[in-house]
Order: sequence, then structure tokens, then C-alpha cells
Amino acid sequence: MDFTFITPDTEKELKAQLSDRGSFLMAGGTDLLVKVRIGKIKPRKVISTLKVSTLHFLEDKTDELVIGATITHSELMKFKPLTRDFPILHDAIFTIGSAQIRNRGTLVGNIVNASPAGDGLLALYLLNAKVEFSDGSIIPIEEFVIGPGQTTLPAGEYVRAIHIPKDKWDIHYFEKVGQRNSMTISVASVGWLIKCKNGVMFSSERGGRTIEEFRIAYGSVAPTVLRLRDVEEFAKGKHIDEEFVHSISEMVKKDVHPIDDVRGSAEYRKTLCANLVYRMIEEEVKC
Amino acid sequence: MKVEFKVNDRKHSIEIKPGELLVETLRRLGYKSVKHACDTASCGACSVQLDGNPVLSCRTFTAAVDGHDVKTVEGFSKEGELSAVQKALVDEGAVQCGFCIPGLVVTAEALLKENLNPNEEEIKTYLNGNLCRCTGYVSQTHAIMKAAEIRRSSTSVPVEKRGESS
Repeated sequence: MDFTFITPDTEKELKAQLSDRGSFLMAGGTDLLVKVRIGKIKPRKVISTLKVSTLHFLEDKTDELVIGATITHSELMKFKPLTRDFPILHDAIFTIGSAQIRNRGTLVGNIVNASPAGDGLLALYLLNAKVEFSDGSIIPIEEFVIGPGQTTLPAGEYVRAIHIPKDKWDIHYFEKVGQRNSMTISVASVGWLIKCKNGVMFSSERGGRTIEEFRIAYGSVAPTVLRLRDVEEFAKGKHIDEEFVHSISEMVKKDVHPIDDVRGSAEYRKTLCANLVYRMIEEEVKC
Repeated sequence: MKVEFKVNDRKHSIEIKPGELLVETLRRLGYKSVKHACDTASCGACSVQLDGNPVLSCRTFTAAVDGHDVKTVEGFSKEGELSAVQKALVDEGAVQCGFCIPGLVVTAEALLKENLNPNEEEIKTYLNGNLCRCTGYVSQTHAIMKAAEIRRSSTSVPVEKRGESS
């Protein structure tokens, strides 16, 4: 491994270093280090972002949360507004690696890595998060990730921050199915956000409450995290009952297109994804 | 390249390769408690504390710890006397082959720093990145609860128990 390791203090220095070919940015290094060690990436230069103080920030604004590039998963989970306003992101991050990995890994690293199995990425898709580049432009997360490990980040630029718009959801759910509880890459993951007309009700009640807005996304079942827009549209105005869940389960089966790999077969993943929506019935709150 | 960092409060200044892993450097410096085991970020045997937080030294470039503080299990016992966590692990029979224990201790110490009254679930969750293939986790969990209890009773500041009056 013949590369130089650079630790700039300012974003200006960072950008200057980035212009060289074969340069790789690293925060915690939980992904990059693996790729370097197995020889998948042969960097000429590794640039650590950790000493750039202007990238280490969390801004809780009235209409959005802004997460700087070097904020670790652990720091984010300890940030009170996260649990209050974005419980689904909290739940997703909590399934990443282990305490040791969350102390090093960053959310920005999670999105730049652009894995279809990215747990944080799935929550950000559901929350319509936006990505801020070093040139000042801001684009939706779905336009940022285009394939496994592939993003639309222009050469010579870096991701400064993630913007998550604030919104109120009545029901949130995240589940990751893996071979182990920790340190695992998901076989499939799912998340949904639901807004109910006239508020939620408990399972035992009957009432005229229906779904006002519905968002659902799957991970590890396509080249990128997948939002199921047909299901989201179909759900509007429906009750969460057995008939509804049965219908969307059929739609899910058609929408996801997983592959066979070391973690599970495509067929298993399809069935799993279709079955995961039945959690909606098991959950206490409905609309 | 040259880096400077502290291990258990002792300053080290050492020449490293840019791609060198923290686990490799630590073992080179003689901190052999840090195990280079799975090398796939799966087992947690290489866990050390970096500025007080547990991290995997097999997934950390030494170059990135320049100027930082590292703590290994050697840093928790004082003059040959075991820490409360170590002693509880011994007393509860939670150590068999011992390979996972250094990593377990540094992680458990970090948990107790954050939460001096963890329940079983919180312990299991916090330590889910530290694998043990001998004794299992029941005795380890009990040991950590016991160490927490000892530490609570020895701290002069009263610890508030959640939902209970002490």
C-alpha cells in the first residue's frame, strides 16, 4: 500500500488536495479501509476529513436538520432533535455495525458509499433528504445515488452535508433482516412512514381514519435503495387492514428485483419483502 | 510517515506506513492484548478506546490517530490490580480462553462511562460487536452488571436509578 495520508485543516486545503487523480476522501474509514485492504481500491492519496472543523456540525433549524460530513453515527444518535423529529433515522442508524463502528462511521460516508444495503440511506430516502456538495449545489438523495457505489458527485467536489426536511409522521417503522443482529449487511431492509387523516388509532378501535400519506422503501433488493411509488400512490385513502396489506404485499413482490448473493437468494428476498409489510397489521397503531 | 499519539497516557512517537492499521502499530509497540483476529470487522477482539470511545483497531488507520488518545485493556488495571470490570469477569466465570476479553473490557468500560446502571438488554446491545465463542454471554452480562453495581456504590456522587428511589 503505497499512498500518502493527508490531514487538511480547512475545506480550502481539502479541495486543493482533491484535484489530484487517485485521491480518496476518508472520514471514519469503516468502508474505505476495507476496500483498500482487499486491494479493491488502490489510492495514491488518502485525505482524512476529520480535522476539518467546518465539516463537524449539526444544525437544528426550524424546517430542517443539517448534518455535517464528519458527524459520526454515535454523535447523531446522541443528538436529541434526531430522536424527536426523525425517529426512523435513529432506528436505522442503530442497526449499523456495532458501537465500535458507529463511533467511527459517518452518515455522509454511508451515502457516499452508496450501497444498496445502506441502512442510513434507506431512512434518508424515506425522509426526502437532500445532499449538499462543496460547490454549494443541493440535490435530492435519489438523484445522488445511481448504482452500487456510484453517485453523481462531480469530480473534485465532496459532500459537505445532508439536509433533512422536517415533517410530522404518525407511524414510522424500520426493520433490517440480517444473518446476525450486529455487524451485518442486510439481506433485505424495509422502512415506512405513514400520515393518517384525523390521527392514529389503536388496533382495537374501528373508525373512519385513513392513510393520508404513505412512503415505503426497501434496501438490498435493487441496485439502489428503492422507493415503491406505486404502493405509495395506492395507499392513499385506504385503511390499514388485512385486505390492504395483502394487496400491497402483491405489489411489493412485483416491484423488488433482488439478486442471488452470499447473503440470500433472490427468491427468498422477494418472499421476505412481500411478507415484511404484514408487520403493519401486527403494529399497535394504525389508520 | 511519523505519528505521535498516546497509549494509556504514555506518549509514543513512531514511524509508520500510511496504510498501517492501529492494531498492527499497537502490537508492534508491545500492546499484545489487542488481538488481530478476524480482520473483517466482525469479532471485536481488537477493540480499543479512541478518545474514550470504543473503536475497532483493525478498521482504523494509525495515520488517523495522530494526536489522539488510545486506551487498551492494560490501561484499566492499576499496578497489577484488576479493575472492577475485570475482577467481576473473573468472579463470574466469564473468562475461558480469554481471547475476546481485552476487547470486551474496553467496550464494557465505555458503556459504564455512559451508563452506570445498564440493564441486561442495554448491555447486550452495547456489546453486540464483541463475539465470545467459549462461555457465552450470560456470565459476561452478569459480570458487567456486577461491576456497575460495585462502581455505583463506590462513587461518591449518588447515581439516580431510573424509576426507583434509592
